Amino acid sequence: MAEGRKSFADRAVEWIANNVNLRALVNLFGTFTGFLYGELDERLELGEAVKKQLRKPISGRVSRWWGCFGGITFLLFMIQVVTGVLLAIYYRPTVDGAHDSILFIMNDVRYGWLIRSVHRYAAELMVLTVMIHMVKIFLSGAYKPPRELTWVSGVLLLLLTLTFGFTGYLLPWDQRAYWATTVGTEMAHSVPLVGEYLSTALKGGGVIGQRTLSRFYALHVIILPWVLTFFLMSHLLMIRRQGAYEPQ
Amino acid sequence: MARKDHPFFPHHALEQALQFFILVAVLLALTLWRPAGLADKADPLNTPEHVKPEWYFLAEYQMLKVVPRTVGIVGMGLVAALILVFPFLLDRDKAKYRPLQRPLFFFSGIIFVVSYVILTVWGHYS
Repeated sequence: MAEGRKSFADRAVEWIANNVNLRALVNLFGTFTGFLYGELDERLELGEAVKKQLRKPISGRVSRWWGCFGGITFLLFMIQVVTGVLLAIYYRPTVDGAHDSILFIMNDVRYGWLIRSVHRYAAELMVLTVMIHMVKIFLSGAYKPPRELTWVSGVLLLLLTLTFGFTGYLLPWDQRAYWATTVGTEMAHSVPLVGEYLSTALKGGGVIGQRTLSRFYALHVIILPWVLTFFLMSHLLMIRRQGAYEPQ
Repeated sequence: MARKDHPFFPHHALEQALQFFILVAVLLALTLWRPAGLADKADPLNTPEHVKPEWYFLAEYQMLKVVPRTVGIVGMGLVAALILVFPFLLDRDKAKYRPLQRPLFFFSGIIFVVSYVILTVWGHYS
């Protein structure tokens, strides 16, 4: 090879050596970690807390695969939060604009189709995993004392997940959404005694229209996320406090 | 069968990381195989031929086609209420955890799951 020709890697290293002040970078990193392990830790004693969390023993009786569905559901919820916020940036909750804004997300927004599809599939998977989680807990009897409240919060989380699915399904405002919601509100209408009120409360009037879309949107992006977060936190705190169930 | 107790980090965290990557792979595979679709814009005057709810409501939907509607809805409400509060009332003996020590609960759970799956499949094909 000729003397003057250098490989790309060599040139990259040379460029970094000439243009980047490595010593300053190392010092910056040192200052940062020094702050984390020094000043901040002196005040808040985070290191001890982190160590305690990381070394916390996990029971070997919790199955690697059947025991993972609760955690998977939690991860799916995190994915829903991120993709949902991204969708909310472009989505318009109006009867005239909703369908067009979904088309815009699918066709014009960069990776919009991917974000929407992931949100859609993660929602369905979340229903599936939360159901599997619940069946597993039921069949193994993990709801027995002292874990009854964890079970109650879990059932509420399943119901909230289903409500998420029901309200989210209307938002694209396409034919499938509209008529699936029609079926759903008809079922609400057949509840004895309060059916009439329930159906009117869901639809915001006599027919499915702008008011229905507005309240489903408010439920889906504001009310349900906070309610679900509250029960999720209780659920996780109780599991953390009591440890995972293991038969004696 | 049971493994030894192990620390959260790195043992358990790595297992969870593996499960997370499998989950992402499944999500991306589904997405690339069939990206989320969009039907025509909603038209209140034009009822499509086959109106069906999402798959996770299909079992309830199919059941309500078979039993009288009011009975079905009240029944579902009662079952949901029972599922919500039964650990305070029933099956509280911690010593009995094996399936055959609590056959009523174990097998009613199995029957519930099986009938739910059957109703869903039936709803899908009807």
